[in-house]
Amino acid sequence: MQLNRRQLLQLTSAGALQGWCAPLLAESKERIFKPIPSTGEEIPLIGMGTWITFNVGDNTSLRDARCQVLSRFFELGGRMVDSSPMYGSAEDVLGYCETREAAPKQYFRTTKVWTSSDSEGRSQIADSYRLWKTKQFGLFQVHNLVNWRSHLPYLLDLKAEGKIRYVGISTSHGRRHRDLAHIMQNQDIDFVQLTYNLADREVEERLLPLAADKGIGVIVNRPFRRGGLFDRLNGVPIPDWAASLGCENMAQIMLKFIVSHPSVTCAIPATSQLAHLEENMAAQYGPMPDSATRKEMISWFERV
Amino acid sequence: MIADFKDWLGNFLPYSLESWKGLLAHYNQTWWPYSAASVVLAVGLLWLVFRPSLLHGRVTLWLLGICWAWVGWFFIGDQFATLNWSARYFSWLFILQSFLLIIYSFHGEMKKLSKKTRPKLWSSTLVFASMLVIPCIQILSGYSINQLGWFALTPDATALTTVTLLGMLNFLPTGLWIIPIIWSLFVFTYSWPLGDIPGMSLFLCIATLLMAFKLRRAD
Ligand SMILES: NC(=O)c1ccc[n+]([C@@H]2O[C@H](COP(=O)([O-])OP(=O)(O)OC[C@H]3O[C@@H](n4cnc5c(N)ncnc54)[C@H](OP(=O)(O)O)[C@@H]3O)[C@@H](O)[C@H]2O)c1
Repeated sequence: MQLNRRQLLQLTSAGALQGWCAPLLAESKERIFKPIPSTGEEIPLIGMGTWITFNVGDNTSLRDARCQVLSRFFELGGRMVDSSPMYGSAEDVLGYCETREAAPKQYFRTTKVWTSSDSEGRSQIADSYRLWKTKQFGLFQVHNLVNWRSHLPYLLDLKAEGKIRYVGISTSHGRRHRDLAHIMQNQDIDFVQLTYNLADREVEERLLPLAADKGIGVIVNRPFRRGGLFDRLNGVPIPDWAASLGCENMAQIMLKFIVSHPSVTCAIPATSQLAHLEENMAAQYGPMPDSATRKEMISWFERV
Repeated sequence: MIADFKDWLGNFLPYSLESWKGLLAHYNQTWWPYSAASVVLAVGLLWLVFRPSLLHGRVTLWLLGICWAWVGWFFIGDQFATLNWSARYFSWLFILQSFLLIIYSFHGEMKKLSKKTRPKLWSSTLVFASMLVIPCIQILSGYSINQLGWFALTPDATALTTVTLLGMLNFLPTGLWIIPIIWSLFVFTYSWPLGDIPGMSLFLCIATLLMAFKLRRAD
């Protein structure tokens, strides 16, 4: 039987191929890609968020420092960069970096529409094209489900025109999961963006299995709880099993936990530091935890 | 529980302390050397409170009105709102305060300021101190010289100096202190999760001054 990627992903998440697929992931020392369920296009496991970190206003030296981070992100094989009009000057700073040649012509530009007004939504979307200096977005999402009934059809129209490649919905902090599930069941979306990390695992119950079932890609935001998880793990020694996963620091443990979930397509940690970026990008290489190790990770985290 | 509340507030904060300081540095650089005019304005205001009279009181309020309009438009609307979208509403509040200052300058109570009132050195000294308090706290908490927020150019020092000036004129109608108080509360809500001591201290300074002035009037 020939399986396409979507079917493969669905089966994996349902547990049917767990025993077959997990060792494959666990043994690999290669850089790992995952397919976007709706098309099979492969993307790297680690992308980059821009909330707070890229909101640096007009200060040129801070802008240039962020361009360095962005440029290094691409050098390390990154592709997806996520932003939103809610993030102050972040979209503008990304456009600035593009003029400084810190970004390749083609990458996975991901942004959102975030307003309760229909007309403002249209102009916000137009602004994003102008600020990012692009004619096509990889992914456009409705931010936090705000006015999704109006924005989603418009985004789907833009997708039909080829101005957007994928369409999605985002949420975070465990908010409006019931509504999100409803949208996932009834609307034609390619991605959902939600919060998942070692401390916030509510999505394992319903949303992650549903995404696999419906062939929807999952982008994970707040992988470090806006940095709060580093505070929580401060002073905790790196566990012995981390070495077998190729993890040298807490960031890699946290990220590998997230991206090894079968339903997760990628995670988008945010950083303003080159050193942190390098730590985070190293998490896209195998080996990855199998399901038994993932359970061990959870019980370790709950103990510390 | 307090830590949870602070963390919750932090979820709405779209920028870092580094970006805030970067914004101040960029703003100071953009307006230099024209911003030196604020020193002339500050000296002028000190002279006006030193020699209280109806006309001087009125001019004081007009000059303050110009400061609030400038800060509302150029600092908050043009700069700060690019980091923090919710700040754009404050841009209009600052412009409203500037109108209020001009309208209140024709208030009947201003007439109590007569030419016969003796020059007051301590009033000018206190106003001078309030112009410098925020930059001093900023230096003590690690801001560099080019990141300081000056009176007439940035909101915190302007709000604090306004309250002091009005107190020194013994003229504190509710309509004029509400916006400074709202502003200082807003500043507190973002300075606290940022760990920005100068911003956190603004509310304390303004509230203490207002209480002191109100108590003095009650005597
Ligand atoms: N509703 C939504 O659509 C929504 C909501 C929330 C987030 N998001 C998206 O998800 C992205 C990620 O979430 P987030 O920014 O809230 O938080 P996050 O990625 O969980 O955490 C970012 C924080 O972690 C620190 N950090 C990153 N890598 C580190 C490392 N290796 N070692 C130590 N510290 C490290 C960063 O500080 P440094 O700068 O010092 O590295 C930053 O303070 C956002 O940027 C945004 O694009 C979307």
